[in-house]
Amino acid sequence: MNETEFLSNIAEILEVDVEKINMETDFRRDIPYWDSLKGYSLIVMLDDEYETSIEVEEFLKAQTVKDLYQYIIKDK
Amino acid sequence: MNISKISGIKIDGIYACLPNTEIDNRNAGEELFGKSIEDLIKSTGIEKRRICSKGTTGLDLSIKAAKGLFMADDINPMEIGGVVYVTFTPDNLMPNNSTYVQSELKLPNNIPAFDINLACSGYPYGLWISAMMAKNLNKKVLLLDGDKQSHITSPHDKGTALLFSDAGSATMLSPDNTGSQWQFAFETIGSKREVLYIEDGGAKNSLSNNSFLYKTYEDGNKRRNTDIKMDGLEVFKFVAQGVKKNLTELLNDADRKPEDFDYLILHQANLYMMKQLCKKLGFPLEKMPITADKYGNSSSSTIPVVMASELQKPIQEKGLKLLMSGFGAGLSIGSALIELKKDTTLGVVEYE
Repeated sequence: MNETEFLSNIAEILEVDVEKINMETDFRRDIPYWDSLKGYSLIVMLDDEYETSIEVEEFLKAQTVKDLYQYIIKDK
Repeated sequence: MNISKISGIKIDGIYACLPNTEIDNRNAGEELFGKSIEDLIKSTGIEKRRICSKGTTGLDLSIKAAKGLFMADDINPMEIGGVVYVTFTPDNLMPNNSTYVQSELKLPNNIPAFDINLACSGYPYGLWISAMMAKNLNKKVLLLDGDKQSHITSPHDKGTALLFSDAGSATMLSPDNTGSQWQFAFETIGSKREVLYIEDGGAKNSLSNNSFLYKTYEDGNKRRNTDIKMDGLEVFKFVAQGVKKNLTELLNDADRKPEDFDYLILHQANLYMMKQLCKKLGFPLEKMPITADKYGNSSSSTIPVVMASELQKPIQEKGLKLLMSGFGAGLSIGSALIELKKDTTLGVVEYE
């Protein structure tokens, strides 16, 4: 697992080019549009790709792409 | 996985009927969503929805669709050997919708007529049962699929208010020795039955004055016990993981790949979820026709609505190989791999 691959998975869900985001991106505010469906999709992706299941309450605390990345690292 | 295979059947025609009352979600959602309404519409893809006017039901829509199909295909009602109606919103708890269809369309008395109670996953189930009946009876079978959800959708529930719509449809199946093999795969996860749920109105919680009171829930949404309740995250997980797995297994078992199909017909739940599923299955987005934008999510009738509305031109060129999947309340999945013959009658009518 590496950051580049992680960013590309996130970009796919946020429907933006991977160059447009980095680890500091606030995934709810720094993209063209956000709603809960993308949130659901991120939660499912963390589970599918990284076997990391996080509760909705935890997910709501995460702001940046890096915060999500930390969940995976913690889980390993 | 259990795959059911049936050969020797064809679809003569599919008609859809949409109520002519159109709701513009930009206006309808302004109060509930404020400025974020545009973002929501971009995600769900549902810009407009069709809903029944007061007194009109899914049954009325389906009957109008059937009449349109009978006229277009010059069908003699006396040739029909059975009626199946897929719905979770029948006109009455007793008797069922299909008996009314039998009398209204002047079908013979000596035929079986019954309903199947399923929500969004229902259409492939209806095709499966109707195909077996048509083969067994060696006669035409009329499959209707229609629901009215607008009266059981809370306008104060962000999770459902701008999604659900009303529609009806009619599909005619005939025995045909030259028909290709159809394959079906089903899945049921009854432990998740409360993910999509209506509390009151059935035998367990019969209607009381309390049923019609709007209650406010922790998430701020308001609904009555007669309204559809949906756990959005659970539904999303189910589609992204369960439905993907079901379709992948069906493809593997049938030894088919995305390039073997002309179209992927998905239940029009919401556009974002459909696009994610389409990509994960390896289908190009151009192969996934969409009606969610203009007609909304009308439960199980979305699949026949998509075919009747969006395949009219391509069907004039050649026969079409289709992979379809309906998924929703139960939780339940119905998937099918079928072929529509060239020049299958397809059409859309409106109900005033």
